[in-house]
Amino acid sequence: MLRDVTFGQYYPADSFVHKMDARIKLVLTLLYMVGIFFVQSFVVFGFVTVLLLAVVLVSRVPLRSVLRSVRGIVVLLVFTAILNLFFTKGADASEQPLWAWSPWNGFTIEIYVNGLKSAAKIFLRLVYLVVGSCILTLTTTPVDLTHAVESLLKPLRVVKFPVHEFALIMSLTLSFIPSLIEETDRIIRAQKARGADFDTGGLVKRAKAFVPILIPLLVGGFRRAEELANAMNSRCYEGATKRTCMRVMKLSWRDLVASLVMVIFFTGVFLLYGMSSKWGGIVWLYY
Amino acid sequence: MEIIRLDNVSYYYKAYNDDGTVGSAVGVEGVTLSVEEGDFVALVGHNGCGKSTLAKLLNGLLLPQSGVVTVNGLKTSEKENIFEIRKNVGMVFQNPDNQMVASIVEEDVAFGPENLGVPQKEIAERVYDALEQVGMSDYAKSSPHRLSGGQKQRIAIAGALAIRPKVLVLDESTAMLDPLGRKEVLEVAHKLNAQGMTVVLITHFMEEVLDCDSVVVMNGGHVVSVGTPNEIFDNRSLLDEVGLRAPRTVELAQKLSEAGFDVNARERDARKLGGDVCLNLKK
Amino acid sequence: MPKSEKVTAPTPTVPQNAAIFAQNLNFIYNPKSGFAKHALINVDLTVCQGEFVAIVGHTGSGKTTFVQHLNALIRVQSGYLNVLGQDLSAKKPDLKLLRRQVGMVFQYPEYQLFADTVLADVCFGLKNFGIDKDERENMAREALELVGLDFAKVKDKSPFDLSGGEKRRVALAGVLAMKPKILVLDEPTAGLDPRGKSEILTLVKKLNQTEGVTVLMVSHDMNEVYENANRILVFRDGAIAFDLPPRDLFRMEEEIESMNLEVPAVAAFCNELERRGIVLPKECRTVDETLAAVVALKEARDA
Repeated sequence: MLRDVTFGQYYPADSFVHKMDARIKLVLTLLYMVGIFFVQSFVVFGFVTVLLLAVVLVSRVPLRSVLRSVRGIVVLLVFTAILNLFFTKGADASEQPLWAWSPWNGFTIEIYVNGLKSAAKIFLRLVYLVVGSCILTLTTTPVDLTHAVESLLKPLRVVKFPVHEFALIMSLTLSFIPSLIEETDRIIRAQKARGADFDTGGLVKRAKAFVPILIPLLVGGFRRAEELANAMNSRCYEGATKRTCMRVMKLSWRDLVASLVMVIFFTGVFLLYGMSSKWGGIVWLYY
Repeated sequence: MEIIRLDNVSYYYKAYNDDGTVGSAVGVEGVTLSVEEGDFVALVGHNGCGKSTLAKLLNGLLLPQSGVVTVNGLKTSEKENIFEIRKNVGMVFQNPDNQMVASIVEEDVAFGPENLGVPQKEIAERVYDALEQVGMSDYAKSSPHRLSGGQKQRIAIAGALAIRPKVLVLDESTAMLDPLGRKEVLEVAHKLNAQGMTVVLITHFMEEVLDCDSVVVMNGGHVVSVGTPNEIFDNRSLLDEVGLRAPRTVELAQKLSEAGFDVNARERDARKLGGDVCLNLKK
Repeated sequence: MPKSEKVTAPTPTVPQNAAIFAQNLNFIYNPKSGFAKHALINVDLTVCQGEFVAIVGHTGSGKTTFVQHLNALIRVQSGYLNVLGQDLSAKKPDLKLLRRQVGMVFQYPEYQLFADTVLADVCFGLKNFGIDKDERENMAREALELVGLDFAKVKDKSPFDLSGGEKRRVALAGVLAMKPKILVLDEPTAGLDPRGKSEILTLVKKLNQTEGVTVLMVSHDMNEVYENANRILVFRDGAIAFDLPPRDLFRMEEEIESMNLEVPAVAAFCNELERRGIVLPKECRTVDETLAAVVALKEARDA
């Protein structure tokens, strides 16, 4: 059961997107995530859809794997969409509700076309946010992401931020997750075999039932930490001082092309956003 | 040439007595030992006899509370020597899962040379050399957790080799492996030794010490005997006393010889022993 | 196995005196995904009460999947399994009863200790199975003494303050305290030194011989298996490849080596003698037993 927490996990393939520099992918994903909030009209959402589909196609990740990531936020999606649907009033006073229902006096539930639009947009925005960030994790190994984060955070060294240590912690955590999951699984089974019951009883009883799992995990964690420290020291670890790095991150033409496409696209999005608020005239761009 | 020397070394752990006061427990006590360059030395004893404590004294993970540990002419007690000493003594531990620092094999092996500040190009060279030596080149891009125990330990050995040490210490590195994994690790250790690496093998599997140059037996923190494998196996009362046991074939050969059979009391091949016994019976 | 077949198959008759009875047991991990892995294939097995069965095979051969079926940590997917009279292919077997009767000792069981005292840890299972407090302490005392620990000395200690070998024995006591009828051990001697190994094995053998506990022991150590078990199951690719008494199994040196398993030293010795026409009694499994047999032969010939 613990093995199922894997959505958005790296999907190995040999594609344009996979081969891109992780730093560029990370930065472009951030640009995309910010950009999504500046998309105002369905027409532009259409453009974004085309862009996303193109990226998925180029990345050779099956569309199914990409869409599976949305499953995790279904509840959030439905909740925000409903809120927007019912609580958005008309665009102006003249707009008539599409549907109204008054269960008792002085309380009316109304749905406006405007509300429908706003619900649809928030829905699309959330879905596209998740899908976009998923493409990053599907095409980039956690190790590469760690390196990218370390590299991008480097300027923070000036303010004494421990960039190397931060990246090392990320990397160690990653390498311990599989064995941690295995260990947890084993402890759960062992305690079940001794009659432990995790599935019945009230909240307090259930919380208590986890003590026999948590303590061995914690004790194991300390033992692991000690052994790891010994192993790292034995391999001459002395902090960041004079460390070098095997991995070289090199920018290639792919990164240039991808950056150009994304920058041009979102410059357009930002421009439209600026224009639409100035000249409300180009209606199709706004609605 | 002598590469490791211990002079009257003692180390005590802090321990709590039953009444809650702080006392001490013997790790090792009064150990004097010397390892020649190129030797394959086995360090044996039951769990808790001090053999792992001794291992950690060899690269300055622990510092002697009395006595001196010298590695390649450098004393571990001097702080500025530690880095140089660790460059000379590679160490592999018991639990393969608890010594991996990265989730990709080649990055894990690169950890050592990265710490040494080796230039980028040379790191890759060292990593691939090391993986080649342990026969794991095909797994450079794999994730360690998918590998078998024996393979993981070979990766850990590669991680130590990438530092280019003179001595390789295997601190119970075979204890958690199945027979196949143990065999893999031992084969690598013997191959490296044949190429000139000094190997210190810490174990309680007596089958593993058969091909060593010398065996150091420890008990209660003391070195109780040093000798060739045959010399150690011959002394059955000593092995009994320290809770160890010669390989079964050797034990059977000894006992048969004592019972008046005309067999080699140091025979290691069970089939050969069987054949010899037949000759005796058919005489 | 198609579903219709499963429904129409009549419940097999469980042989009398069977502690474990499996018929056509199959198990597939992730059956519906692309990573489906057939872990058990048509396993048929009857283990009688009081047997000492060793299970060998490489990682991924299905042995762990099989033993976890025995106390329903893994539920029957297809086929029939009966343990101590309970039909585990049924929808709702009595798990509490089953898990009390089938004690399971996992690999490195000392890593599952959690309570603040040894006594509390040993009592954990007993408490879960609803045994009242006074009786719990008595049963825990018995179990701790059985594994060779001084009850008065260790009961209030923290299990984490004990040595490695003692921790393992406390963990074992935690299972033995429930007085299981079947004891399943997954590599119980892994990581122990020779003395610790022989202590655990002596204990398991004693339980089997004097208390009649049915023992299933997974092990990688062929010498250990050869010297202790009455019957050995070799798992290979999800199926039982061999099911033989130790002497007969290890006579097949070629098959054993082709499966990358070792032939125990004493077995290799006895095989060589047999090849040359000298057959030692079947019971010769330890060094001393073999020595005695060979010496007896010699004396008979000299006389």
